[in-house]
Order: sequence, then C-alpha cells, then structure tokens
Amino acid sequence: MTEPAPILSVTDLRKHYRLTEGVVFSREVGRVRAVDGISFDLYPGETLGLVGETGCGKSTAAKTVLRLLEPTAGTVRFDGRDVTAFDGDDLERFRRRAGMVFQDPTSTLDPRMTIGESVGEPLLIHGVTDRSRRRERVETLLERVGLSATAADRYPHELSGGQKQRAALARALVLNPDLLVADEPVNALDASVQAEFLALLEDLTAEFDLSVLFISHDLNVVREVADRTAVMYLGEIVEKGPTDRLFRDPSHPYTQALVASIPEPDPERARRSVGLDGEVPEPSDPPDGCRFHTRCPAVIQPAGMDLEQDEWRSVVAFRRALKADGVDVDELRARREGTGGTDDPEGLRAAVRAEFELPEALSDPDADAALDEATAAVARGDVESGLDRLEDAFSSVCIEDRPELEGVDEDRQVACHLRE
Amino acid sequence: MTDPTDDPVLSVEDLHVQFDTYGGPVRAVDGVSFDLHPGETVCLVGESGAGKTVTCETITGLIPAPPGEVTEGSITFEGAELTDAAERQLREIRGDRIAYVFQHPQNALDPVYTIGDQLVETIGYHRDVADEAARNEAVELLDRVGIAKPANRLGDYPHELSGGMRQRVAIAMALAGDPDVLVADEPTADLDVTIEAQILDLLRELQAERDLAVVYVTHDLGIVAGIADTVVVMYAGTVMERASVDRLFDRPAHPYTRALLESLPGRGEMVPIPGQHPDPTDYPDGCPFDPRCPHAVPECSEGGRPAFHETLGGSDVACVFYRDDRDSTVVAPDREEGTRAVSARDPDSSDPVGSGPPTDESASRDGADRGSRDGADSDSRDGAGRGDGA
Repeated sequence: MTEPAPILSVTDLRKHYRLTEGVVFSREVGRVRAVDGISFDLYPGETLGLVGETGCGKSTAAKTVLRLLEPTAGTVRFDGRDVTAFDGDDLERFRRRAGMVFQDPTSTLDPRMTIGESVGEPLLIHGVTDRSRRRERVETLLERVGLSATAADRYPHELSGGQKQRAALARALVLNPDLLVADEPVNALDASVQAEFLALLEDLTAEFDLSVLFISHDLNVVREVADRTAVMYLGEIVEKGPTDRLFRDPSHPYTQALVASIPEPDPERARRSVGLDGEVPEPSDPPDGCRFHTRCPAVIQPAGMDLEQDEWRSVVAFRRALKADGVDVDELRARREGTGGTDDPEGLRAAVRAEFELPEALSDPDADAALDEATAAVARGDVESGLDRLEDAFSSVCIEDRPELEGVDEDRQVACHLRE
Repeated sequence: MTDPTDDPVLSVEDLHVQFDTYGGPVRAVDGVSFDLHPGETVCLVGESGAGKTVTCETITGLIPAPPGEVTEGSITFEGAELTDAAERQLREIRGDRIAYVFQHPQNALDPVYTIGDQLVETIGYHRDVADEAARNEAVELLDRVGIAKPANRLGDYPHELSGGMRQRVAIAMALAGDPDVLVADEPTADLDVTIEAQILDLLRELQAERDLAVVYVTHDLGIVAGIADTVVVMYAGTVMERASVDRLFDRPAHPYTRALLESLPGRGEMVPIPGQHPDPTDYPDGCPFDPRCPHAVPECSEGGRPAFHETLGGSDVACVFYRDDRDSTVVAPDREEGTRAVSARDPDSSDPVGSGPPTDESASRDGADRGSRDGADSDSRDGAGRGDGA
C-alpha cells in the first residue's frame, strides 16, 4: 500500500493545565496532564476513532488539534504546515478547512437564530455577504443532511435532538472542509437515531471526501464508523490500529478490558462478568511507570517472583497508597484499642496488613518476608523505610518505566511492557 | 431463577398515565402491563419518550399530581392497590419495600450533608435504631456496595466522590430499608463502560443475595442482555412485546423489536429505523409503530391498539400479524408459525369498524425500500417527512 501524506499529523501533543496557588505571584503547585504526549496521523478520506473513558483527555485532544485550546507542547501539522504556529490569516484559512461537531447540538445553535442563520453564519464570517447565495448554499446542505429546506426558517427548539445534530453537521460542512472533528456527536441521541446519524455521516464522508477524527466513549459506535482506532488512557494513547483487528484481538490489557466491558446485545455473552477494578486515577497525579498499572489485571511481577496475581496486585496497591497518602499509625492504634486489640508491634503489623487488604501470607516466602519487614517499618511509623523496602523487593518494570508506543506489527502499535 | 408460577410481588395492569400540558394532554403511559416475581429482573427498554421512567415513577408514587394523573389501570404490590393509596400508606411502602435508584445519583444525595449523615438518616427513617448502630450499619452497607475503607468515607460529601462511587452510595441508600423491589432507572447511563460493568455486577450480586425483584429501565439492549430475565419493549407509552431475554434476542417477534435490534451498532449491518417517535400529544389511533413499520397494512392504523397474542415461544406481541388469520412469518421470517390470542385485559382490535378515522400517516405509508440505507434518497425523504411533521 502506498501511503499518501497524512492530512493531519499530530506529534507528541501535550495540554497541561496549571494548578496554581496565590493571586498576584501565583506559583505552580501541580499540573493536570489532560493530554500528555499523543501522536497520530490522519490520512485523507480516513476516519480515525479516538476512544477512552471520561477524563482520558480525548475531547481536550480534539480541541487542541483545532487550536480551540493552545497546546502546551507538541506539533499539529495540517497538510504539512504547523498549525500551532499559525496566526491571523493562516489560522482563519485553517478554520475554514476544519469543521467540528460537538456532543450537544444545543451549544452550536444559537436559540435566537433560525437554523438557516446558524448554518449560514460561518459563510458570513468568511466573507460570503450575499444573502441569497448563503440561503441557497444552506438549503442545499440542509437537504443533504436529511432535513427539509424549510427547516432553515425554524428555530432550534422546534427540532428534535437528532434534527438539531443534523443541522449542526450542516453548519460544520457549510464551508466545505477537508477535516471534520466530531466529538461524541451521537452521545445524546437514542439508539435508532444514532444509527441514522452515523449512516449519514458515513455517506457524507465519502461524498465530501472528508477526513474525520471521531471521538467517542462508546466503543460500539467507534467500531461502526472508524477505519482505525486509537485508545486513550489518562492522557496517553495506549494502543492504535485498524478498528477491526483492535476489537477482534485487542493487545493492550486496557483495550482488552474495554472491549470486554461493552454490553453485548447477546444474552449468552453478556452474562459473563468481566471488567476492571477501581477507577481512573486523577490526571493531576498519574501513577508512575505505566499509567494503567494500578488497574491492570496483568501487571508484571518482579523477576523471579511467583505470586498469585491477586496477591501481587494487592502489594502494588499497598505501595501506591503508601506513597500517595502515607498511613496514620496513631489512628490505626486507636482503632485497635477501641476494639480491644493490643498495642504490640506484631498486632499492629497485622493491622497494617488488614488495613490495606493485603493477604495474611504471600505464597512466595521471600516476598512474604520482605512484605513483613515493610509493614513492620510502617507499623513503627517509619513509612519512608517501609517504602524503600517495598521498592527494593517489589520492583516491576510496569511501575518503574513508562512504556513507549511500539509497533507490534506493520500497522498496529501498543504501549505495554507485556509486548516487549 | 424465578418460578413464573409464583405470585408476582408487583403487578402492573393496563396502566395509563396522563399529564395535562398547555399543548394538550400527554399520554405518557398508554397501556402498560407486566408482572414482577421475587428474584426476577424485568427490563423496560425503549427510546426516549417511550414512557419507561413515568411507569417507574408511578409505581413509587413519584409523579407530581397534578399535572400527572393515573387515568386507568392498576398497580398492585403484594395484593395491595397502589394507584389510589393514601400518601401515608405509600410512604410505608416506598423506600422500605420498593426502593428507587435514579439515573443521576445527585438526585438521591443531598450536596450539603455528608454521605454518612445521609445514610444514618435513611436507616433511622426505616427502623428505630440508635445513631451508633445506624453508623455501623452504614459502614456495612458501604462495604457491601464496594466502597473501599468505608469508615473513612462517611465524612465525605457527595461532590468528593466519583460518579461511580456516588451511584454505589445511592444503591447503599436504596438498600437501607431492605426492600423487596428495587426500581433502577438507567443507573449507569452517566458512567463509563468499565464502571458500568462494575455496577451491573454489583446489582446482579445483590439481587442473588437478597432475592430482590428488580425493575430495570434502560435504552441499551446490551445491558438488557446482561441483566434481564424478562424484557418489556416499550414504544409510545405502550408495550410492543414481552418476552424472556433469550427469546427476545433469539427470536424477536414484533417489527419494532426487530428494527431496534437491527439499528444497533456492532451487530453487522446497521439499519436505522426511518421516521420518528410519534408526538405524545397525538398518538396514532392504531398501532403506534405503524407510521414507521416496514410491514404495515391498512388495518394496523384502524380499530385501536393491536391486541396481545402469545407466540408459541411464549412471548406476548402486540401486532396484528400474530392474529390467527395472519401469517406472522411475514414480519418474522425466522419464527415458528402459529399463535394464540391472550389476555382479555388488553384492548381488542378485532372490531374492524373501530373508533377514529385512519391517520394521515397511513396514507403516506410506503414500505418499499424502508430498510435500505444507501444513498441520498432515503435520507432526504425521511428528513423531508420529518420536516413536515415538526
């Protein structure tokens, strides 16, 4: 396959939000890493799906690509030119060639303007001042997106949600763009209306020769529309590849869990309980190493260690909790005394184990001894050396090193130590 | 599993709920019947506006009256009629015997009180226990719904919790009265798939543990497949089909059910349902799906709502094609022939001279290429029809 040049090329894009303290001399006390180094290419005529859970940064990525938000770092190339360096005329020209559809069509359509005015507004902004020519273009487009030309004289509240989203799509297409960024465009629509809208989008993509960046948390929808899919987790892309293969044979443990969590309209398969523990960590304090390691069912054990995976994961969780929040030994002691427990070091050590839901004994004796030393240190109130002991004995590549996105084969990439 | 010969714990019969609005009366629920047995999950599934939520709110007496009014039908809970029950009597049942989990947990949680205070208050409302004991019970409940370190969480305010955790707390509150029936209205609609899977797992566990009967509302057939024993497919305030979950997915009977399944992404070719849900102030006289149905015949729009027919497989279908004198394989080529008419309680459509003129939708009915999704023609035609109707 001879690849044409990508229409959109995103390299190491970052968007951080500073958390500051102080009003006059504000200083940075932390950063929300909403998008933290993502790269992808979008080829002409292609639809690229960007999926992930709430807060993974997919919408921020979309807005940053269009420069509705200023990127913190990285480059976005559109037709070979760097969008992040555009200003004035260049930016205006870029915006003419890139349309966007948002999740909520109500936010796109001004309630005081008719549909025709809203859809035609971009034309006016970009210099089409002739009323009748605008009207003509608007009517053609409204019919093309499956509304009647008379809808131009209606107000947004007179239309259903599906109709409003069609009007929003017409507005995005009115300048005949090359790139369409669609951010959860069917999220607010009923299933049957969703299907209609997606079918329409597919027709229009072909007709207008559009390249589409399609963002959704709904994997079924992405599976339907995207040629290739990129999966995001906590600001990073963890896997990307052709949609069919990504869904049929997901490679990253996160993708596997996502695909397994899709409610399947098939009673046989749907009753299997599969899923992921816990929730997505805060993007202001992402885990070290692989960001998914705190929830990963397959997190790699230290060399030479042979624990049950559940045991191992409880140790990983203990280490992270200790590092993040420490432990209040006095409170623990007080609670033990309250329930009639004794104050001996051994009892307190067991209490630490129970508090962090660690098993009473690990199946590997060496590991168990190390964990004993660490919990004993914690029980003495010496969290620091407890942590040191843990880091010493339980060092895992998943916790230490951030995996890079690497090719598993020609057109598929995954960021996971298991695939190395 | 449930034994259908058991007495139902909750029984809804031919329920009609109407809201008076400036635009005329809205028939939000327009003839809904189903039974719920102990330990059973009944899923109400349908698009927005199908009347799922109003049905549930009516069960628990949560619809504001006026403007809402139960115009017909009955809801019985363990034999007691709920539709005309006094507020006092309802209060003893609601929360205690029938609990509600809302789509948005913030509707169940007060933002200015800690979750501990709210749980203790709820427990105290149901039973006469000391605060200390209620507190311990609250910790147990939080632990049961999968909140880690529950004792440390009692002092948290709702906004300090994630969406998934808030819904867990809301479920804990619903369980506080140890109910027999749990009504869950799209409890996972706001959640991500991985968290949704966790909540569904939790509900399944709780149900098995407590022999809970669950009414679960959703528009997502994927969730239905995972959680339902019995499915009630609703459209325009009324029931189109009632079937066991396996039956429904294996051999959907009603044209609407079939269209709904075909419109799902991820099941091969996706076929949108043309047209729009009818206007609730002006439902068609006949079958409400008639204007969008690819198989519609003139009698669909005449003589009131279609009667229910029981298929050999045991599902109840409100569609004229399941009448004895019709060939149901027209609408469902993959199913066995033959049905028998059931349920005297449902409006019978066998009177062909019935009330009301045929609707104008029936005149414009053309089923020729309804299913096709190719090209501009079908899109713009559907759209044009929509534009006229708006």
